Amino acid sequence: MTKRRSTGKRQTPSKNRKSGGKSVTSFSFFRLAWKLGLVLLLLLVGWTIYLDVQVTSRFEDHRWEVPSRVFARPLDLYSGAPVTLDAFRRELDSLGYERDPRATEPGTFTRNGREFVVHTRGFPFPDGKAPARRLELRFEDGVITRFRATGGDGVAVARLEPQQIAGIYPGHGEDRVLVQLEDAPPLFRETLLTVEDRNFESHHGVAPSSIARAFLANLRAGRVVQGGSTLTQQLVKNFWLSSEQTYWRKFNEAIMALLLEARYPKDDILEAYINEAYLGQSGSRAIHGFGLGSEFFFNKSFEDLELHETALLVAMVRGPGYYNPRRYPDRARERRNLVLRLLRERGIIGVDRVEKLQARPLDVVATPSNEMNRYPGFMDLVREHLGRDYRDEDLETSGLRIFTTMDPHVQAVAEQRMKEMLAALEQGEEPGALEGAMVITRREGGEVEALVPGRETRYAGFNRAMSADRPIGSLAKPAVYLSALETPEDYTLVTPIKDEPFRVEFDNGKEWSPSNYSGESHGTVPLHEAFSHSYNQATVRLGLELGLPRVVETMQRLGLQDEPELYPSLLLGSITMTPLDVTRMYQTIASGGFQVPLRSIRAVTTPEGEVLSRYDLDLQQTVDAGPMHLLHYGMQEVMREGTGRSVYNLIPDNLQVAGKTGTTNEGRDSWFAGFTGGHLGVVWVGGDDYSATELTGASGALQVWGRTMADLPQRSFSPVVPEGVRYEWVDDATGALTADNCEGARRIPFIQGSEPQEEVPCSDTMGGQIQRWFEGLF
Amino acid sequence: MREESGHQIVRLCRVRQAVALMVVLLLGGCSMVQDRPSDDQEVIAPIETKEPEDVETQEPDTPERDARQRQTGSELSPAAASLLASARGMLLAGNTERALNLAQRAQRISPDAAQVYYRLAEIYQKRSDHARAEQFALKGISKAGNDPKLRRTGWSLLADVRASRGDEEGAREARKRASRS
Repeated sequence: MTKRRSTGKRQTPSKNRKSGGKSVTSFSFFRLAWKLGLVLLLLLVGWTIYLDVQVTSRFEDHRWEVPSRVFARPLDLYSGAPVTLDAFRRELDSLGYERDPRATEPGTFTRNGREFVVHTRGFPFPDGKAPARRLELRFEDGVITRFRATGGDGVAVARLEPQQIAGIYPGHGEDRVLVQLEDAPPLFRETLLTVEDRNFESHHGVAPSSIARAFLANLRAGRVVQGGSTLTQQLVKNFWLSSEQTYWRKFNEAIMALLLEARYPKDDILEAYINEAYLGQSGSRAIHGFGLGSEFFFNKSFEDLELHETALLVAMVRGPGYYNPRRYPDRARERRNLVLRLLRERGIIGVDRVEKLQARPLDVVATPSNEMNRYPGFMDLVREHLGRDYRDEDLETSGLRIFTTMDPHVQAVAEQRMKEMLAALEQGEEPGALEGAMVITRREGGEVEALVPGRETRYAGFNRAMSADRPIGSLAKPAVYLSALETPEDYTLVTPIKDEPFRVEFDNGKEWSPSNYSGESHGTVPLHEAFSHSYNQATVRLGLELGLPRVVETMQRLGLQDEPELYPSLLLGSITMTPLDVTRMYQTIASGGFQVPLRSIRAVTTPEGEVLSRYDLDLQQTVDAGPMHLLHYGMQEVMREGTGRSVYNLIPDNLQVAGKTGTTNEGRDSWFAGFTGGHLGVVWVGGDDYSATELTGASGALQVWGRTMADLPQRSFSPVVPEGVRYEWVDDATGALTADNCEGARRIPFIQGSEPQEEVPCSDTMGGQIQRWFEGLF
Repeated sequence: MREESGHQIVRLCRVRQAVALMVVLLLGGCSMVQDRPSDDQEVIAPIETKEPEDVETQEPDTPERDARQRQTGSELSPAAASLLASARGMLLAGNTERALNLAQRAQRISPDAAQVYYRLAEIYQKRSDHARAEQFALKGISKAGNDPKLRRTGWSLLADVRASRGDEEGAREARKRASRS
């Protein structure tokens, strides 16, 4: 505005002198030009100062935006570790280990049948750096039966480095791993400068000869076809300017490059360049810098690159898409070899070496180990947890390292089994009508190993495991029976309970009469049987005897966080919960009465490895060991004789498990919650629209659970009999004590002092008596 | 050494089970109910368990591994034992954070062994986090089974923790349990 007005003013007087002599005209022209020039110079100086401020403030304070990295649990290796050969192989593949008959280098392995020699890479864990080690391992029947660390300093346990399972990226999706110039592999600097900027060490930011060459080429073509940019200019462009090819931008770029060179040493500029360079794309994630480039293409750290690998990365700077070695290997190889030839021409390496290097394959790993967002469901949980202690901005830009509890093998099995089983269950129905969710934790410790948010596991969407709030049906029953068993003077596992029709009348005159799933009543049955067969009428009767507040209080001690309305129907699970809430409640049962917070994160560190947060194992006893043992007995009976018994079509007969099925009205929800010695799993199956299904807990969710558990290395859930609990033989028909191993009798745990007082004689066959006599011998 | 005697116990059990099984089968027609193991500490026996060599390679120290319930606590695996030993070293050196990391790694490997929780209790005790120490001691005791030494260790530890919390009555009770074990 100012500029235009001032020229306007000058134009008016000149009109008056239109008829003046030639010398006057030329004088005033020079004066005008001189003044204009002065104004332009001032503007230029001002603009330069402005650019200088831009350059210095941004370059000095430039906080690299480094996304956070999220890691799975590291795989522990030791003698006796429950790891199948197949799972181990997959772990090595995911980590990009390569076969090498001698396994001399970190990141290699060799295999001979069931035996492996693995050379681990070493890794900076939150609890310290694990060194690279050479391990000898043998796998038999899902267990490591031989473990030896060579160099044998008595190491009994080692860890593989953890898989990166996700990154937390800022909106623009730039990803990088910061490196320093001193970490560069040998000949890196020479290679980069040979290709991108031969005069880097001597120029002042711009190279006029290169610009002239490019200018001529552009003039001939009639458009911008060539850049004469120095490395400094490239950095300026990436750092501060858009990528549009205009002369105005080139002009700014040149000035800023000069300023940058005037103010900073060459090494600082080069270091910024190698962290900024754009090297590829993975979905919406942009691969920046040679540090991440090394990981993304070679699964190596920058300093470990070999020269042919360095050459490939440098080759790609010109056109990361065009020379993408995964998509266009021939093209990439041709350019890599060109780079190597240039090195020879400049005398940096000899002919022999070039030929050898040119003959080498690209050595790019097939899939990047750190693909982003493979597990959006689990990441929802991690983000929710992180959200309590960290701001989004810090997570996206501070390069934090987040060590989670996820077990990629368990996660893969759970996803696969869920998908298959849902497809099988909806045979004959409209495909896609059924959905499901699953949470798997370590039975002791509460670490979340897997979370399946629905049948779609690759793309973020409705996370049913965390958000589907559904009635839990009979999953509520353990709280009812536990409340009873906590008062051994009133209730034991053999207390007779009536499973008969009855009515509850409410104050408002309404009535409710619960019925059993089968529609039949079973008369008077022992408490354990009412539980294992999930009889509704018996359960409601028992729950009302105990009183609703007591049952709710038990639920809260198990981990329920709400304050539900006290309707009798809550005894049959009208109360709603998400699969994750149910997991929290059953975790207390699985951990023997100790409430254990569910954890998805073990620790968070800075990029340098300093621990910022740690989330340690914690526990709090809320249920006594005795009644909990009795409940475990009942939940094992569910699986052997009750509603969950079909699980033994899926899992080995000698595997002891405990659990509870749940079904809501018209099969709208099919639930199962149960545990083996190693894992607790909670499964929900149903329709998002609450539509009725033919499913029960056993025919739906339990099938997913059983198949998942069958695929994982397992051990039995075999709880220790606590002090103060005794097992007695009890006659089924009368509920009285009887002799060992009688027919129609079973061994039942009692809290000491609550055993039945009556005794009945054994009424079994001769064979049984002889058998007992023999057993007495042993 | 312990592993070897473990092997022998397993073998003995197996021999006994095999004899029992043969006799039972010979008698015929008898109705041994599955999954009703004897209360006897060592005989466990769903008769259809795996081949003996399988058990030996898999978990040599735990004859009760597939029982529906067990009287003895779960053995500490050698790997977890070595981590706990390192944790103790760190604890003695005053580095409770390292000790905690090592003990938690041991917990992941042998989550049913009482010793793991005792070590965690000691670490929290050293940190003067007596409330946590008490919970971990209780957890350990719940895993100790009928091993008198493990029980004694647990109750004594609990007595110390309670005493430092100022819970004199609780400490007395725990001491009584320790001497009864």
